[in-house]
Amino acid sequence: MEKEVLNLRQKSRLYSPWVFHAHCGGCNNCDIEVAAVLAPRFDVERIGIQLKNNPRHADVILVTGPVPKHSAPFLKRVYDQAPNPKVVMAVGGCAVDCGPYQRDDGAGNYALAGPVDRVIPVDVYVPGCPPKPETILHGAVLALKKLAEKE
Amino acid sequence: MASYFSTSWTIVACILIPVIGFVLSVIYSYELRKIAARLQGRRGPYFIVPKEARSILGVSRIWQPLYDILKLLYKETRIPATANKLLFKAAPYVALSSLVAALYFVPVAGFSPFAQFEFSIVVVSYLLLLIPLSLTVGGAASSSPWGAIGSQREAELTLAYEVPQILGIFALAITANTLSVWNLIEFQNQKAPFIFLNPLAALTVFISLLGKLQVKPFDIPEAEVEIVSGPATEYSGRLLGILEILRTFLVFLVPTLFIDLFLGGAIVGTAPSVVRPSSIVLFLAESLMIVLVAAIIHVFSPRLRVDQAFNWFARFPLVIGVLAIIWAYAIKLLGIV
Amino acid sequence: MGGKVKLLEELVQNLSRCVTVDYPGGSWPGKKYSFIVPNGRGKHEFDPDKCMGCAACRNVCPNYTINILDKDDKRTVSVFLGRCTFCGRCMFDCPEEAIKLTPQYEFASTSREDLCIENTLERNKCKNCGEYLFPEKQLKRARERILENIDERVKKVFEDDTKIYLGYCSDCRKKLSYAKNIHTRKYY
Repeated sequence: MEKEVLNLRQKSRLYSPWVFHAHCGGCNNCDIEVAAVLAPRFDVERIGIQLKNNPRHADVILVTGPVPKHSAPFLKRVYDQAPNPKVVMAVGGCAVDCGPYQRDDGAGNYALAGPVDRVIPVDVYVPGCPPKPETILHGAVLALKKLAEKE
Repeated sequence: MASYFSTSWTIVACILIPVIGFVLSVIYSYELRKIAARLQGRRGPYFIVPKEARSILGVSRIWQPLYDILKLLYKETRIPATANKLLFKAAPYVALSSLVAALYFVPVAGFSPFAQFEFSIVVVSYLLLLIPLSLTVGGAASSSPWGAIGSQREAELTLAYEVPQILGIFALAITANTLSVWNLIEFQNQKAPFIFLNPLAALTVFISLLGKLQVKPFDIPEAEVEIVSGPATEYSGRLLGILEILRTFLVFLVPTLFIDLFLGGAIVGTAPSVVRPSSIVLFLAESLMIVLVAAIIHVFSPRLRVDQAFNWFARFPLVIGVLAIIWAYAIKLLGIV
Repeated sequence: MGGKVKLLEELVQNLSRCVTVDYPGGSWPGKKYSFIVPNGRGKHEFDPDKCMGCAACRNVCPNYTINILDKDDKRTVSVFLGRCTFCGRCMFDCPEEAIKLTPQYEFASTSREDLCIENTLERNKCKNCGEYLFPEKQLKRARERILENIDERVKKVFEDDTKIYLGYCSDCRKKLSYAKNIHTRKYY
């Protein structure tokens, strides 16, 4: 936030987001990179992010993987359980546009309910296969700024 | 001589002590997180943010626990449709008010409105027992299977650590021949701090207070990987903010209680009714040391299962508690004290 | 008991060594703030002078990430970062080394459209019927490459003929081959 004066509500949302990691299929490589972001090398507790395992406590929902058809109702339920205001981040090539699980005419896969876009509304896209931890942090900073602007 | 404050001073104290307690508890909670991070080889929340990151992260993050609480208070609250709404909504408020009420009986560097009451140590133990009780009720009223399992574990853990704590506290009461916290502090300032007079009681009460604070190895009711947040599973928004305030306040209460009971209340000289600057400095230093020890134990330990914790509490601290009472009688009979 | 003492020693040693990298403090390429591997594969970058629109990158991409859109008089080569797996085949197989994967890694964005990287080229017009052909650069560059390696005996004839030949689409070429004296029977 370039020299804007934030009121207390925006400041508290910017400085303390809690993250819920929803894993929806895929090769798990993006999950390993998310775990690397939480490890001591790229410590996110400096930014104030904590990993919680309960969507009711979370502000940011981190989705990895293309969403198989069996998982789509569960992802929708997790999205509904999180209280407003919330931000959704789609991490990885699979979450942004199904990645390597395409058909050659781009018409979609027999097992996928599509990228995360078609199941829940997404705010920040972090492409990469898998994205570097610095890229995930860059996306997290963008998500924080968007969270502080919501009502 | 134990006398109460005048009415106006009592009202001032009743307003001032929770505020000071909250500010200090934020600082202690920050210290807990920072030391736990540094022992794990990472940085933890910044004390001074480096210059290049100031536009994103602010100047200092020492108020990080306060930002967590404020963010939760500004969020939407959701209540499950099948929950018992009255008990569900009331449980965090009951727990917080009993904690604040218990704070009035525990002197903070020699300043307290009601610690001179004759039976204040009994009142403190009673009020502090109400906290896990109301959380158990709140978790069970939330109509969620995780809440039910979490409440059962919390009740079992409470039973495990309360008994050695009561034994340790009554060992002090036997030696000093009184049940009032103020008289215990005066006794310590005349003779010697209880950590030297009765080290077994100090060990017992310290372990039980770690169980009350719910650091590892005793953070069983909120076990993250096993049950999704235990009794706090269905709480969100404002009610969860009250639970966070409760947890932050506990980090202030535990060192204060330990200092008052065993380290002489951080009062330099005889117990006055005016707070001296030297005793404030001593109080802060001793509290930070106790939080440091709690942080080291938190980082160093795995999490126990609830039946393992119960068995351990029934063997080691309970036996030492009984030995502490025998020790208290022995030094009284032998005339050392 | 020995293991616990060792663990405590390691914990205390950790107090003096802190391995955290201060990432959000600086922007790329701040060396102090993160690891930049020199050969790392990150965001794509087109060199607009070298790219000739030959679509070799699209043909070799395993993920259907690179798309070529021919519209009126422009050909647009676009890479959609969201689907890319950063394998590097487009970089290895481009004949002109026009597309490169730089080590830049800061490409998260809040909207889907930001993730497209594009390069636009002009297409030639057929002098006879007005239909659009291949990009001009591709024809010029293909001619240059053949002229470098061609045998001396046919070089002059090829050079003269292709000057006329390459200005027409394939239908008009067949129709006008005798009129413009570029038919192949004159070689034998």
